[in-house]
Amino acid sequence: MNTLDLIELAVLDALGMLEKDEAQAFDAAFRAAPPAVQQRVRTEQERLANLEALLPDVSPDAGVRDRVLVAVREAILAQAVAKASEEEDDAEPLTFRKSRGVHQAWRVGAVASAAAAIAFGVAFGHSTLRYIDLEERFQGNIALDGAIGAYGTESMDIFFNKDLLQDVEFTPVDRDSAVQVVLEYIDEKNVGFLRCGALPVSDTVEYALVALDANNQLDRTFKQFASSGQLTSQQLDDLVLENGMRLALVSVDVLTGSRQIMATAIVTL
Amino acid sequence: MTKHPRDPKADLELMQRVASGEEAAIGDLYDRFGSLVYRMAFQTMPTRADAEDAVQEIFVRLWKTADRYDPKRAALVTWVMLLSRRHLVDRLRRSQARLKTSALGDTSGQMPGDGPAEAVRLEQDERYRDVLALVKTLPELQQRVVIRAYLGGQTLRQIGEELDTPIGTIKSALSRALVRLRERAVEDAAHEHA
Repeated sequence: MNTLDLIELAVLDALGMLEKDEAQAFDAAFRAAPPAVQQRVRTEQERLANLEALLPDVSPDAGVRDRVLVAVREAILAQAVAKASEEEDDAEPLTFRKSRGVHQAWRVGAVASAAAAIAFGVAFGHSTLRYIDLEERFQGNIALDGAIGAYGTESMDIFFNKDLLQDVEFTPVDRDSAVQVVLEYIDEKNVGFLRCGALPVSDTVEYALVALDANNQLDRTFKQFASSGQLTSQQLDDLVLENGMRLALVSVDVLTGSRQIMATAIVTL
Repeated sequence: MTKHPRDPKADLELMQRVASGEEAAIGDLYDRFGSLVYRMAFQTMPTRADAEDAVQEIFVRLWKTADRYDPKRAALVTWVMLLSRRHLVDRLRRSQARLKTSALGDTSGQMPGDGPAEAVRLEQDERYRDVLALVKTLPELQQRVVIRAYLGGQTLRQIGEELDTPIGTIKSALSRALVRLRERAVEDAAHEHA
């Protein structure tokens, strides 16, 4: 391939007009060319690639920037979760022992999911978990009685403080998981209500809401509980949440003590 | 026209930050090239919504390939435009949404994209008005090739078959047409600023 051929291909490459094999051949020829030829080809390609004068004079809507950032975050999350899943296949059971770092898959999944929780806010359908929606469901009936029947006496507290409720939404590490987790929190009362859906029921597995430190190490356990079935509701008293706090819902093997992350969130109040 | 000042070291650092998933860097990349990428997408995609979707996809692709960016190979603006153009052509071919080139090939004054919907037609007018004015100054073969390739996203092989012309001739015609188009566009811009 001589210099003129290279330049011609560079022009076509600039327009995305080369077939895959042609593009590979061009790249190989370019790399093998002397520096002076590379420079000439590069100059020609830059001249031709920069065809801004042929483009229409339009501007993207302001919302496109946000959509781009969300799309990239989502891609980053998808990659991190996929990588975590691959590593998990070969991993020992994940632990929180302080003497050992959190398993890398755990870390990647937690960080990625936390990022996603920030990015998407409402990451999946929580409609059956939120008290507000629960109230709507019971509207026209005996709302409070219905709520108490479904969620226990703590419903009274949130029934009278629903305007103060703040949601902390969790994102499952496994995106295919049906698990749903929302923490409803009343800052003024330091009380939270953890709503979990689709947690598997098992004699040997319980679940825990935990906080992680900046290195994704276990910082503290707020509450450990068994799944009661489709919907689980846990009241957490004396709960103090702060912006930026990393939370996770983990499954706990009661026989071995090993923990596995199921969903993560970063607190944004 | 958007300016893209070149600082290879800064460009490399930016792409390294993008590769690491740093959100501020991705925002910076968009702020520098978002408008340019959107204009390319707007010109190539059939609707504004498609163009916006394509812009998202292109920036995801820029993030995925950011660690391969080599300032010795291309300036960042060139890298962005090359990758964008490749993606848009791929998308156009995949969606089979390319322009009806039989209409485009008619240089009797008909503008491209006489679609049924007025909104679409107006969008297409806006997208192609300036570039078609330049294209019409080219020799006939170059007009037909550049419209099919640059605006229609057809492969060189397809163009060769449609025009019953050897692919080597198509390549040369397209290459020459683009050089000429760029020169004329630069001349026009110089006259406008004079």
